[in-house]
Amino acid sequence: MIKFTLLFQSLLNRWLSCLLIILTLSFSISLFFTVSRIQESVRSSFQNTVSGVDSVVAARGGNLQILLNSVFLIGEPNSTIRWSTYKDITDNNKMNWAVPISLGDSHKGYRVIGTTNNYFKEIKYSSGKNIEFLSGNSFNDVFDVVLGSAVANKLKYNLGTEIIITHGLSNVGEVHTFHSDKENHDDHAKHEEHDDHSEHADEGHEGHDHENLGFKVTGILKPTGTPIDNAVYLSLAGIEAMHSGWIGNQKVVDLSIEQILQSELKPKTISAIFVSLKNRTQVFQFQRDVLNYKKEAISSVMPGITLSRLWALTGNVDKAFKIITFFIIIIALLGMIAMTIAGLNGRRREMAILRSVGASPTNIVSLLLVESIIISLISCVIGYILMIVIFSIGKDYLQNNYGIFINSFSIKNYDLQMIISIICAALIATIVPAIQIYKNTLRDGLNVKS
Amino acid sequence: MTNNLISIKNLEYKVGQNINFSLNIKEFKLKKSDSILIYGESGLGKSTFLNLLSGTISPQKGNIDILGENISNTSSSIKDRIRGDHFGIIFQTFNLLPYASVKNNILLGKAYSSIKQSKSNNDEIKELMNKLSLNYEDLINRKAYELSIGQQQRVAVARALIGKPEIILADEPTSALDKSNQKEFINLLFKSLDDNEQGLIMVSHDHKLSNKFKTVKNITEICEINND
Repeated sequence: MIKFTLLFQSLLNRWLSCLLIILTLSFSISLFFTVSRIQESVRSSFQNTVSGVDSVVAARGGNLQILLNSVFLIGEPNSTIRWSTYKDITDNNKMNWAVPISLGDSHKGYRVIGTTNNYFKEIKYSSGKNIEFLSGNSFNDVFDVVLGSAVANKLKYNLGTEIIITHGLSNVGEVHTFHSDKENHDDHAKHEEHDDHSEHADEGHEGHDHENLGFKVTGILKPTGTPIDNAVYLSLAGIEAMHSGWIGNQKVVDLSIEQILQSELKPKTISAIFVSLKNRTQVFQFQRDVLNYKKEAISSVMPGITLSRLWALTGNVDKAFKIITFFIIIIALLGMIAMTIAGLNGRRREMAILRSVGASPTNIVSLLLVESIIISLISCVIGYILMIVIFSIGKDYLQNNYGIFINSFSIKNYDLQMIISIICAALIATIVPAIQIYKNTLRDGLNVKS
Repeated sequence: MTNNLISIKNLEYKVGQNINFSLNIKEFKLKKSDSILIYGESGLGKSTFLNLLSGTISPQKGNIDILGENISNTSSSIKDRIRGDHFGIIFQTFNLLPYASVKNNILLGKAYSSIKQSKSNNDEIKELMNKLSLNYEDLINRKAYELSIGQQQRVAVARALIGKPEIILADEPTSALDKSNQKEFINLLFKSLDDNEQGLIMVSHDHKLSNKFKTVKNITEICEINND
């Protein structure tokens, strides 16, 4: 007991250097944990998003872009495809179900997805979980809107709240995508007659509120921990209604609600189609069918394969990050060795006193080892707490800015392994000063050097 | 059981190959209740002598018996145990851990010895401090660095004496003290020793303090030293 008391008092006596060691170690440890957590979360939130969708059909373009855009709501919307194409795809005999989506509008920074009721029925997340309603239900009327849980929470909307949808992606760039600086409210050619908006492309126009048309919240979804939470859902008719009287970014005719409802609200174009096949093995045949479709240039993206490609691409960056943080821990440990060795000379008197009362050189070495266990353990605990703090503060930021969903916090086996290996590493690092101190104590004997 | 606390015979100790230092002791004994003052100029091997006695260095030849146990050929861990169990050691100066309290500094004296712990009771610190004219209530929880040099040296004596070790080694314990304190220190040291059958070896560069000691010897009378 007295030995432990003296050990702690000795550490306290060297509090400044101990504090510095603990700070560097705990910062690097929290960095390591933070990076690996983000990595895991990115991976799982990406992988959890698509489930049960065998193919995403969209205008021909980069597979990755199509996937990011349609599933993860990241980046600029693709070109659109014709409604008739959707009809033809649903006629394909391999088809189980097909859900059309229409992108390109936003509400207070949240993306709007125009779709059908089937979306909530068919689209799954996290390996087969159904999308469920927290309250209310799907849209029945043109001006009904369903909110993702994060949208409802953040904007404090309830059932019955009237909201205004913005034409174009105003603010979306700042809030939701990786390409915030390049984001513009590309008009996504919803109106075929006016598909050239290049003159607006770089001007950073605000979106245009469709101020006359209030949409009413009829349903709020349960949280899913995927981009589904971050979207506002409208019927395709609602999307059409919103754009009635508009050509591109210009309002050309002021239409009353009655006039709009009287007009034909059939979509002319959509952004993508989520497809499920009767038999998953037919996915390549289906892909061929899509590529051979003559009326329009469309392609079929298989989410699983595209995601794996994405991981193959980003996996190395991931690894590099991990290696860097790992080296940061090693550097911190080297700092610990340096400080310990620098402190040894000043502690020779202490060692001689301990020797005089019967401590063996092994006792003294183990004292040093216990010290580094204490220091590294404290650092791990602080580092871990620091990571939790970073995440609880940064959770919303990550979710809103990068679509990274951090699940509710839990201590993982992996963390414990990591903490144990850091402590082991600290022990191994202490071997160098331990050898030094062993030699010192043998040489000095009882001669007090000071 | 032998009356000898320490008994050395035909000891030969050499250092290194480049530096030629050798120390030979024909015979040396410390008996129970004996007190020996060894004086001599510095550099004549006093420290080496104490290190040999306490087992932090080993001789090449000869025997060192501590309480009948020959330590010259035993492992260093046994030597460490014997030192912890049977020795009380006082240094010249800087005897204490400055950051620790007086109490913990004294307790450290028996921290590595189960024998000392079994021989010591809870009141021993108080008794020792009283004998050494240290005010228990006032000082027990003070940090060592807050004490005067004289007080520190007396606390060091208390640490050396706790657990009633048989052999007390003191390496110039008075060198940092002024004259009047030196005398008082020696008096207190002997007063604390009296009750037990402890043997004391004190090394000093002068022999003005010799009147209390039963035996006073020049280092050269004990060891034959070659230093070239």
